[in-house]
Amino acid sequence: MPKLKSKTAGALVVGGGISGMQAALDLAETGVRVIVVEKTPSLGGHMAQLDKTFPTNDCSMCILSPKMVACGRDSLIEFLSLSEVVEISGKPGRYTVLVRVAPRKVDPRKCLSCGACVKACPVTRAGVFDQGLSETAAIYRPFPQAYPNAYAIDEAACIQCGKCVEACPAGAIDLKETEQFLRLTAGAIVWAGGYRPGAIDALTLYGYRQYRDVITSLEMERLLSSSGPTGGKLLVPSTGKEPEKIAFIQCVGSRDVRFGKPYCSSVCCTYSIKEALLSREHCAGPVETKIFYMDIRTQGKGFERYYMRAEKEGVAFERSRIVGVVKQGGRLQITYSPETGGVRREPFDLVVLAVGLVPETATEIFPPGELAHDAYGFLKESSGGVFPVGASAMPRDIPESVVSASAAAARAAIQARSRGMRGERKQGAVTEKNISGEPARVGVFVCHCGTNIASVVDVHAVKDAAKGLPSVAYAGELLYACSEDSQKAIQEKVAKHHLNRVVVASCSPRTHAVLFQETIHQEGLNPALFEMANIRDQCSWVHGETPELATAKAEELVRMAVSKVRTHRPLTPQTLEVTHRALVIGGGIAGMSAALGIARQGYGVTLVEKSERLGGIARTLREFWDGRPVPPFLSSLTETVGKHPAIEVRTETQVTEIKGYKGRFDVAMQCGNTGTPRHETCGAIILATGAREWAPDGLYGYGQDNRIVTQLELNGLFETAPESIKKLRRVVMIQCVGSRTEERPYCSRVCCTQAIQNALRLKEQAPDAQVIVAYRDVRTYGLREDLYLRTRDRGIIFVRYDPENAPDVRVPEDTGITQLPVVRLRDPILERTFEIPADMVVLAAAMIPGESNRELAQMAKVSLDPDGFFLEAHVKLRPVDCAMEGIFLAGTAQGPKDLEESIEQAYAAASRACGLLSKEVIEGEASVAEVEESRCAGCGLCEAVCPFHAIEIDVTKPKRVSAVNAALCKGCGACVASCRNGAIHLPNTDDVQVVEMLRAMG
Amino acid sequence: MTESKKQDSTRPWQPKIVAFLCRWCSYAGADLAGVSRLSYPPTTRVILVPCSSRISSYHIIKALMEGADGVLVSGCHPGDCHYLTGNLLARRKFILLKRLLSYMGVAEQRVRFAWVSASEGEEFAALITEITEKVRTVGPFRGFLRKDGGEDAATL
Repeated sequence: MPKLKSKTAGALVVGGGISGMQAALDLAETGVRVIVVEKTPSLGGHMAQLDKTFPTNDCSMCILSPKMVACGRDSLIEFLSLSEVVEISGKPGRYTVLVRVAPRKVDPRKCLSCGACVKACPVTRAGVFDQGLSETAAIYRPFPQAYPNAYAIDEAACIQCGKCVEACPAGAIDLKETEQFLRLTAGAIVWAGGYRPGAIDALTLYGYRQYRDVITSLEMERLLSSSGPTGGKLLVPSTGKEPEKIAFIQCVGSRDVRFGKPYCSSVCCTYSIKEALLSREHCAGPVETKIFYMDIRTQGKGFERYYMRAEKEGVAFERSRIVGVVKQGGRLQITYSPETGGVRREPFDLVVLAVGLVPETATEIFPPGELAHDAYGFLKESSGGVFPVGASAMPRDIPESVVSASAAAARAAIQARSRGMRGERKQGAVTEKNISGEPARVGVFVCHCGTNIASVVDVHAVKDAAKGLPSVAYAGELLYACSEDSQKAIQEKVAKHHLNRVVVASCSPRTHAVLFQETIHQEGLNPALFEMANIRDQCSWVHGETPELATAKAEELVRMAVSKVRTHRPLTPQTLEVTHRALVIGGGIAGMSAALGIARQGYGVTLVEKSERLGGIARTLREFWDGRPVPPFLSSLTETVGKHPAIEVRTETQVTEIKGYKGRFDVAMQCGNTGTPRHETCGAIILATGAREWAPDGLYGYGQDNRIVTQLELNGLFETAPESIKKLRRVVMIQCVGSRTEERPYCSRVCCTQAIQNALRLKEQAPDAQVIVAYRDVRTYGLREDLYLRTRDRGIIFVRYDPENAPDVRVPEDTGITQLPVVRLRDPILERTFEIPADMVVLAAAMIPGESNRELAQMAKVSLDPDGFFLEAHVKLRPVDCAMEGIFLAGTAQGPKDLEESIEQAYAAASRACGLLSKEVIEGEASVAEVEESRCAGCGLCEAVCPFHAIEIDVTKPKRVSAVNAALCKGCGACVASCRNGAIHLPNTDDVQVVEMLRAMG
Repeated sequence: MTESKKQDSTRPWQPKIVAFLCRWCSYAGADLAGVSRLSYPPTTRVILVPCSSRISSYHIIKALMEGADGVLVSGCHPGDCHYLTGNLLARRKFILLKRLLSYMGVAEQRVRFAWVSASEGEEFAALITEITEKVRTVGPFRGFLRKDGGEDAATL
C-alpha cells in the first residue's frame, strides 16, 4: 500500500446526520478541531428526508439546513463525504483511524451545481434519497440543499460515457478518480452511525413489496415532502389518485420478539400521528386516517398534546393486533383483532408501516473491548474514549439525539482538552479602509451563472443599465460570481476603481452574501457595504417564459440594490468580553453533572442549591432504568463535585436577581438561613432546578390511609420497612395519577418504567404477592421495553383503563389491619368490573414543575411552557438552550425525564455553556437598533414589543428615553416599526433604505 | 409581446407588486420556488427585511405612493418566527392598517399579509400568481382617496 495521507484532529465524528453535526458543532464551538466522516455524499442524514417534525410540524429541512451550512463554514470542522471508517486502533486520547474515501468523481470545490451534467447523463437509477420512489441520473445530488452542494457519480450506475465531462462548464468531473485511504489521528471518537429503518422480513408480513400501496413511514415522509417525488401531493402509488382512507400500522419490526426486536423504537407513535395529521392537510378531499396500535407512546415533551389534537381532529386510534393485509377489490383489506376480541376487516387505499429503528453498527472495526453493543446492536460506551450518540446508542428522536450529541461533545472535549488537542479558528486581521466623507462609488457585478441567468436575462443589458446609474463607478459581468477567480476579479476592481460599495447581481444572499462580504472585507471594505440583487432564484429561474420582462425586472432589482447600498454605512458588531465562569442553579443530579461537565473543561463553576444538601430527588431513587444502583453513583458524584477545585458549592442559597446578558450575568443571591447577600458574575447560567412528585391529595384515597402511597414513597419503603413489604399479598398500582389529564395534558414519562421496576422488586421481595397494574398505555419506550417483557414471566397483571372508567379506591372506615382499601377496576377485555381488596395501593403521581420556576423564569427572562417547565429555544434542535442566550437547561426543570436522561441533558448543557465560556469575546449582531434620543418620547412601546428584552426605558436619565442593550438586540426591527416618532433606527435596514429602494423601483 | 424587445407603451400593463419578505422563512420560500423552477408572473420586487415586524404601515403606504399597484408582506408561520413573536406583532399591525387603507379608498386586493415558510416554494409561486391576478382585476393604482370617492371606489 502506498504511503497514506494523514490528518490529525481533536475529535473524530463518525456520521453526518443531525447527531454527528451537533456533536461537531459543539466541539468546534469549544475550540476542538473536528473531522466528520460521512458515508453518503452529503451532510443531513435521515432528518433531511423528513417532511415535517413533530410536535410542531416545523419543516424539517428548514431547521436542518442552517446547521448544515454552519458545519460547512466552520474552519474547525473538516467534512469528508463518501467516507467510511474501516479500522480503528489505539486508545482514549490517541486513536488511529483508517478511512476509505469512495470516489465522488466530481470535485466539490469546482462543481457549480448548475445541473448541466444531469441533462447530459443518459442513465437513470432509483434515487436513494427518495427511498426509490423517484429516479435520478447516474450523476446526482442527493437533495437540493445538500452540503457540499455538489454532484456525485453513482459508480454502480455510471456507464463511463463521458457526456457529463463534456457538459460540465467547470471541468469538475473526473471519471478516472479512484478510492483513497486516509489515516486519521484523533483524541476521542463520537460515533453517530445512526439507524436504518426496520427489518424487511417484518415489513413483508404486512404485504410490503407484494403490494405497491403498502409503504414504509420513511417513504411516506418523501410522499408528503413538497420536494419529494410527487411534489408534496399525497398520491396512492398504484392509482396516482388521492387516498380516501389511510391505515398506519404501528410496531412493525419493533416490540416483536419474532424478529429479534423486542425493544420499542420510541419515535413511531408520534411520527405516525404526525403523518396522519399531515396527510389530511395534503389531500384536497376528505381523508380518513386510522392508527392501529398496541400502546400509544407519546412520552416526549409536547407529544401528549399532539396526540390529543390528533384525536380531536378525527384521527382514529384502534388498539388491536393485525392479522394480515391482503388486496381485495382493488383496495387493501386489513384484518385485525380489536381489544375486545373477535376479528374485523376494513378496506384502505394506502397502508403505512411504522418501521422501527435498527442501529447501524460497526463494532467489528473497533479494537476489542473498546465499544460494546447490546443484543440488538445498540452501542454502549465502555472505554471513555468512544462515545456513541443518537440512534446508534438507543432508539431516540431528534431532540434526544441532539442532547446526546451535545453531551458526547462535552465528554469528548474533556478528553481532547486533557490531551491538549484544541485548535484555533482562522482569523485574518484586516485593516478596514476609512470611507467616511467619500462619495459613494458603487461597483456592480452581474453574474451569468453559466446559463442559469444568462439564458433568460439579458446580462449585457443589465450591466449597461447599471453603468448609467448614479454613483456607479464600475459595472461588469462575471461568468460565475461565486468561483474562486471571480473573487479575485472583484477584489481587483475594488482596488482599481476605488470602489467603496459593491453590488453583486446573482443568486440568493441567503447562500452567498457571506462569501462576497468576506471577499470585499479582505480588500478592506466593511462587509456592510454590500448588497445583492437576486436575479437568479427570484428572477431567471421563475420567469423563463417571459425573458424580456425578466430582464426588465433584473435591471430594476439592480437599480434598487444600488440605491440602497449607496446609503449604507460601515457597521462593526459590538464585542463583549466573556466571564469564564458558570453558575448552576440546582444541586440535584442534573445540576451536579452539569457543574462537573463544565469544571472538567477548565472553567470555574458556582453550584447553588436551596436545600441544605446536594442530591435532590435522586436521593429517593434506588436504581437507574437499566438496574444500576443509584446510591453509590450519587455518593461518588456528590463527593467528586464537593472536592473539585473548580466547583464552589453553596447550599441553602437562593438566587434573588439575575441581570446582564450572555457572557456577563450579574447574579444576586441569599445564602444560609441568615440570608447573607452575595454577588456572583458569570458568563453562562444553567437552570437545573428539577421537578417534584405531585401529591395527589384526595384522589384514590391518598392521604386518608397510609397503605395508599405514591411510587416514590414505595421506593422509600423498600429501605425503611423491608419486613412489611415481604408480608404484602396483593398490591394494586394505578398509573397516570394527575398526568394526561385536562389539567396536566402531558405524560410524566418516568412512571411506567418506575412502576414496573417497583413491581419487579416487589415480586422479588414477596414472590407470592399478586401485583396488578392499572394503566392507560404502558410507556416503556426504547430499551425500557425489556423491563415490561420481564413482568410477563413474573406474572404481574396489567389491566388497562380509560379515563372515563378510571379505577376507584374505597378507603375502609377502620384503617387498621383488618379492613383493606378496595380498588374497583373495570377490565375492558373481559368487560367486567372487579373489586380488589389490596394490602397496598401505589399511585404513579405526576411529575410537576418546581415551585420556584415562575419566579426564576422572570428573573432570568426565560419562558415557561404551558405546563410550567422551562421552555427550550427550539423543541427539536435547541433542546437545552433558552431563547435568552447564555442560559441553558438541564434535567427535569425542562420537562419530565429519568435520571439517565437528566445526566445526559446536563452534559449537553455543559457543552453548550462551554461553547460560550471558551471564547474571550463574543460578537453581537452587526445591525442593532439605535435610539435617536431627541425624538424619543419615552412611551415604552418599543420595550413592550421587543421579544428579547433588549430595549428598556432608561429611568436614570433626566428625560425618559429608550436605551438599547446591543448585546441582546438581534436586529429584527420590531421596535423600529413600532416607534411612533421614528426615533429608533436599524442601520442599513432603516426607513431610508426602504424608501430608496421603493423610489428606485420606478 | 414577443416582437418588442424593449419595454414600451404598447406592452400590456403589468402590475407592480412590492413584496416585503422576511429573511428566515418567506425569502427562503421565494428562493425555493426558484430552485424548484416554478413559474410565476414577473410582477414582484422583493425587499428583504430581517423580520415581518420590521415593516411599518409607512412602508406599505410609501410603496403605493412610489408606484406599486400591490404590496405583499410575508413572514414566518406563527410559532416559527426567528425572533419569537415578530410575525404576530406584524399581523396585529396590519389588521389595523387594512382598515385604514380601506377607509383611504384602497382596494383590499392590493395589500396582502401572508405566511410563507422556507419549504413552501409552491405556495409562494401560487401566492404571487394569485396576488397578481387580484391586482390585475383592480387595475393600476392611481392614488389615495379623492373627493369623487377614490380611484378604487368602483371596486370597493
